[in-house]
Amino acid sequence: MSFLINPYIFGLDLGFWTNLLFTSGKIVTGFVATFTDALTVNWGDGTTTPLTSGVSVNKTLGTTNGIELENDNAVVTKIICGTSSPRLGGTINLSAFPNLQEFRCNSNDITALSGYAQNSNFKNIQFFDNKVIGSIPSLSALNNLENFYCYSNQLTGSIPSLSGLIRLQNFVCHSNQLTGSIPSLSGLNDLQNFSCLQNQLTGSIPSLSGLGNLRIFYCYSNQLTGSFPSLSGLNSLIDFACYSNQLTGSIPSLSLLSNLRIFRCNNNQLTGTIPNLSGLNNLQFFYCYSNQLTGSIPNLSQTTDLIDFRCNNNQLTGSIPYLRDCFFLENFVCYSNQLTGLIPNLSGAYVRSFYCYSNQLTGFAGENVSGYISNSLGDFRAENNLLTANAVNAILAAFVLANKTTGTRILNLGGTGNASPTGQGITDKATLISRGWTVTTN
Amino acid sequence: MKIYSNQNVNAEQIIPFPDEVHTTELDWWMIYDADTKVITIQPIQCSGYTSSPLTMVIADTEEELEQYIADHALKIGDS
Repeated sequence: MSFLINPYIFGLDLGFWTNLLFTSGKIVTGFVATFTDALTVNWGDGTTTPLTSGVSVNKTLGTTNGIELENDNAVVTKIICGTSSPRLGGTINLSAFPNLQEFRCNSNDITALSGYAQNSNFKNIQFFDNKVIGSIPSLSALNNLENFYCYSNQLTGSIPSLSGLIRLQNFVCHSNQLTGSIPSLSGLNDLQNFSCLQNQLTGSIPSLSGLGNLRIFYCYSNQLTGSFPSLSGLNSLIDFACYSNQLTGSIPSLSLLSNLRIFRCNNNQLTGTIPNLSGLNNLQFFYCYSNQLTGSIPNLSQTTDLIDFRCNNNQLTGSIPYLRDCFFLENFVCYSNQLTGLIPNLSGAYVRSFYCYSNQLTGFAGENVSGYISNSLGDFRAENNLLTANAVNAILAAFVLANKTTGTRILNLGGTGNASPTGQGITDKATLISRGWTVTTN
Repeated sequence: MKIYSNQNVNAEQIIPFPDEVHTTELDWWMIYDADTKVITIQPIQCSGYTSSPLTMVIADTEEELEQYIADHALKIGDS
């Protein structure tokens, strides 16, 4: 039996490649590999090399159209090649390897890959970061498939049906030019990671019901419409991102998603309220900005791991919640809403930026107490509110007391609606400027 | 738009070390570090009196500031 890999050869059978140089259809030089099975390599230039298990070969080649591998008993189960320089190009047909379980040839310049769609032995197919064109073939015969990574190619057409691929754990097809809708994920109970971001997908997000092992779901930067699916029961979910689509309806309940760390639904057309975030003890990033959300910002006293919260550019009302329990909070962004009440205690050790401008805030929680501003806070924007002179003076005093003298130092209390500083407030503004702050007041 | 002594041939006003510089709600302005070319306050439209150890640029439109950023190869800062 002989295997013809035409026009290019990669590693095989647990082999690895350390120096494989190809350019535009020609093998130019350098071939180092280790095989675990005895093979004979016909180099395409009239010479052959017998290879035994564990033996490396270092072959300098002239130009050739292919390399033939001969071994009547060889069972090739893996083809793995690393990134070469210049990158490996051309087309690959895997039909000569009926026993392949794994093919990995990432970060090269492959333009076409075929001959794998009928091989039910496949568990792992990876060809991300290449230049593969055309559509993804039907995968319905790959009923042992666990991982399929085709991201960052030039694939067109639709995502094929994944129905019946019950062992599928990772399906990653982002950053292509795929169209059509996201296929049904029903019954893919082992699915852990589904990523189809940055394509041109339309339709709605499919039901995620029953995907109890799903950890990552990325569908952002497509043209998806319709409403949010229920996230109930996705107890393994860590990172969910559907931002920059055209989704409507409300954000679903996130209660009981105790592993959720990152939730991003910004830049859609969502309405309704921000759901209750209590109990999401691992939540670190929550972005719902640039929607049409109403109601108030929820209680954040139990989201103690929160690092970054952004709800700007909505129609939120009510007050800014107590943030002092968010010990790790770095950024809080709530500008361009209709918030009222007080700017809260911002003495958290890590808080760096607080943007509450263009609301209707009137006061500061630290007007009669000191220490409500952390010395890590260096980017504070509260312009275009309704802050009283007492509030403006208290904020200036709090920043003077915090005594931040390095890094970013920006304080904006100007704009329409805020009062001007008075008395000690004017002196405090001068003190901050002398410490390198950029300060704007009315 | 206010006129400053260091007005250049373009529409924008470049003011090193602004000291209580007044802007109206119609003015667009930004702040950058002339040494590092890092922008610390991206273009905003905001009235008030601003002081800074950095450089202030005031213009009539956001586009003028964007052109200034491109012309001077300014970089967005990371707060």
